[in-house]
Amino acid sequence: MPVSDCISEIKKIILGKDAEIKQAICCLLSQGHLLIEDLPGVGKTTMALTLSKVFGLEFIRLQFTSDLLPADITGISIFDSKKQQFEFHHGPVFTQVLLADEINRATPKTQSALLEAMEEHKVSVDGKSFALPEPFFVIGTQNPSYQLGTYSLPESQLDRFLMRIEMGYPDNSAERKLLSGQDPRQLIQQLETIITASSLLEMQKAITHIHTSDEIINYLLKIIHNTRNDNRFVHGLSPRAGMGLKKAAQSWAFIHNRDYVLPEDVQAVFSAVCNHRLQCNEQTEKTVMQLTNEIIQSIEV
Amino acid sequence: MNIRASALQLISRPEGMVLILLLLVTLPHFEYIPLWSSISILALSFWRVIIIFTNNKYNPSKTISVLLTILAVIIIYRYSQGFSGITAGSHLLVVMSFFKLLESKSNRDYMLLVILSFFIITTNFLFSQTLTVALYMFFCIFITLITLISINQHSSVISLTDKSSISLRLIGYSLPLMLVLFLFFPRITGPLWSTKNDPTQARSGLSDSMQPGQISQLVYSNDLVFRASFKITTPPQQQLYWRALTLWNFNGFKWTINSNNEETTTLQINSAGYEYSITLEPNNKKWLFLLDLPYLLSNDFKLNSDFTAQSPQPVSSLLQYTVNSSQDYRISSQLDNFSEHTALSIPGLNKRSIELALSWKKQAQTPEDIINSALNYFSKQGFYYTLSPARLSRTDAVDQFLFETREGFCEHYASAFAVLMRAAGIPSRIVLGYLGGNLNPINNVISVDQSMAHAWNEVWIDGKGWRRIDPTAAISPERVNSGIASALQNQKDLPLHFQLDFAALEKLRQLFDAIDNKWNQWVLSYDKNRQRNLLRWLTGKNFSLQDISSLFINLILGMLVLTSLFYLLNNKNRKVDPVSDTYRLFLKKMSKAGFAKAISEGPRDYKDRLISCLPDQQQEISFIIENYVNLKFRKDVNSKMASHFIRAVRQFNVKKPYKPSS
Repeated sequence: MPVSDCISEIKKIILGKDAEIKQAICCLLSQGHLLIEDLPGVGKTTMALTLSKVFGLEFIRLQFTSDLLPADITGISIFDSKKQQFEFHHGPVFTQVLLADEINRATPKTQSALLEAMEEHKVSVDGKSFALPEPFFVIGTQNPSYQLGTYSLPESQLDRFLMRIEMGYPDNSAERKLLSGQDPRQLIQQLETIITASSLLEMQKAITHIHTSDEIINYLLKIIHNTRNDNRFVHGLSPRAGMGLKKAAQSWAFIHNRDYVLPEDVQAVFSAVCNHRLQCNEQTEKTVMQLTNEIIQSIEV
Repeated sequence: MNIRASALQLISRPEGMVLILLLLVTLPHFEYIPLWSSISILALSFWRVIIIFTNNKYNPSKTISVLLTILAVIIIYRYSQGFSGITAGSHLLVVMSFFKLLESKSNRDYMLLVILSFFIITTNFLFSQTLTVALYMFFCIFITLITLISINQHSSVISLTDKSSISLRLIGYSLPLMLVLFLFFPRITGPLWSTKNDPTQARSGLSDSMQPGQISQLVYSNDLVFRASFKITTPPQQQLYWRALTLWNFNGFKWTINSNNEETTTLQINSAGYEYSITLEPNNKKWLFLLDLPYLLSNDFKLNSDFTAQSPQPVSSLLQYTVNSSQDYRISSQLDNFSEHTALSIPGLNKRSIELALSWKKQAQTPEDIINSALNYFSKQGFYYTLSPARLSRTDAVDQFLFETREGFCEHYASAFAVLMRAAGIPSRIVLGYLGGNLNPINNVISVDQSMAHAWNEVWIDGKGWRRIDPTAAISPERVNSGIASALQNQKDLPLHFQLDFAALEKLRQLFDAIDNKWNQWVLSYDKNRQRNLLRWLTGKNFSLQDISSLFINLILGMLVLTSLFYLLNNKNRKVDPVSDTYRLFLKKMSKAGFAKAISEGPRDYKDRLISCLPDQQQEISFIIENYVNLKFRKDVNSKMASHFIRAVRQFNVKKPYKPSS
């Protein structure tokens, strides 16, 4: 099974983060974009690199800064004096995997240029649109927003990311292995490519046919309604979030070699898909994580 | 096999349960169907039991059951002369139910029998509506519901306690509907169905004629005739003369009523007497019972000139009316010629009696002297008050009684007295009715039963009108003063109900009598008039039969709409889903064993946890949960999978892992 091979391959580099690896792959398979939120140096970039290597995807890393302009991402039309016409120069967004590093350091205008590309899978410049390559997968990384000089993404834009994961520090044994082993960046070069881009596209297509029974649809409905009826949240989940949750659950089932979705699949991806889309009321003392756990635990399976 | 085990086996099977149910609901019918029917029913039941215990070895063949059924139908048809009438109908219903039971095999048959049981329960009320029967029928409905639940559920799933509570709840839910039906169903006068020519409907009681030996027969019956409750004071025992009808015509042996009673009387009441209400048991006769001497009647009943009254229809259900009576009266009018002629005529028989009367008349100054001579004759000449007098000939019955046998019951004395008076020229007639009554100290209600049937005389005395004379009092004063039981104390063949005399039993009987009276007052005598009174009291308006009918229909429709709304709102998302129900059953079994599923625990997670807890049953648990997952979440479901899954769960039982005791 190519997917499980991928996982074991990535595990060699990213130590002790099995759940996060699976969620990242799940996100990739669901044609969604991934937001990794954590402190610098916990392996966000390594994760992105490893993924693109293993899946045989073209990879570009773009470091976001406060002076980055939209054209720096999408590309620009320049007048070619020889041909006497404007020629479009592709920006870094024209790639299969784009690592948008520290996305919250850029200005909102620049951020939105990227988010538009993420949603539409195309770039429009001077009234012409240019399709992005397929598969197109953005991994955004974000430092916690309390750091200086950041423009945290508004909720409407967070919604564009299918999943948000937090890397967290590795545990003791993983860290020991990391310290005693080789530099992961060098190891990546030795990794094998297991899946080609075209077979990834096929998998993405196959996942839409994973069976979700009425039982699962009812379960999803209950979850969505409960977040909307819970006044401890500012808003409930959007319909896009609901569809994303279903897609992610389908991918999760696919990763586990099943052609049907179980409630466990929904539960496994729920916090990654939903937590960044929900916001607590000011009066609520609990965190979003605690509240969503409560919701999941209160719904009968 | 011991009896206990067999009985348990019997009631754990649907056919056994239905058999017991049918016997329970048919029990009251045994009183109304002939003995051979009861025996056949028991034989059919016994046959069914044998079939159960021999595993269908002695099943009747198709031919035999068809032949037996046809035979039974013919016998019932011959016995009841047709199938019309409630007795024949219910007889057929009951017997055929047991034939159906004999051939019942499937759940569908048992369902049919349960529905038939509900029907048989209602037919019981055609025969008797007493409190005892009502309570017993509630019990039967309870058992029927339990059977219904048992047939529709596998007995291992619902415990008897749960079944009972469901049944009680169902009965509770139906109570509002019952109340509405009872209070607002349009009531009409008379019964809903004809009871003509129905042999079981004939009841013992007074008839409109009198001949020797007729009243003494009634002493053997303690059936209730009516109850009376007095408003202010209750009269003493010796004044409780309840008149029903007067007899005028005598053919030498038999007294009959006067068909054209044209006499007009004016009654003068000197002091107000008693006001009382009477609750008359149904007897299919028209006459009413009134205390001497009635002057005011409720319910628009008309008082006849002989101070009796009749209901327009035969009394077929409990009838309530109030009467005013006074003992202090004067009848001022004259006896008209025709009445005087009738009240003096005697057939040309009984020569010696007539001679005796004429000899008294010669010596007497006033009519009262003649009356006293006659009463003296009864008390001094060795007359004897007895239940079983010697038989009298048809021709000179009075002579034979007065001069030879000298023993008799009240009808003998009344008849002889009337003949003597008429011979001596004093107009006289016989009054039929009841004398006495049992006072229930609990509610101060007097009940009168058949054994108190009595006949006495009235004589016309100019200027005073009709006067009551009871010749029985001359021979047996106890009969008047302390009732029939003490008057017959020394008799050999005393009816059984006079012999029992336990204080505690008597208290119990009185208590039951008081409750039964309340049941009669509140439930059985709720008729057209009381329904209208209730509606007037509720709304302040007068209701016609039409208004009541439309109100009733609206109430029923309203209840239907309300209940269906309630049902729809409550069960919007509830669909029949045997797989989920069965999974719930599995979860119930597990949680009883201490392995409850967390609310949000998915099936696979739960399976892994269960297997780690119960490694011995890994296979069964995996089979059940994997099947559940396949049925619920997979695309292509094999139809056989569901039945495998349901069977596996039903058979599944948690085996507790062995724990060494410390």
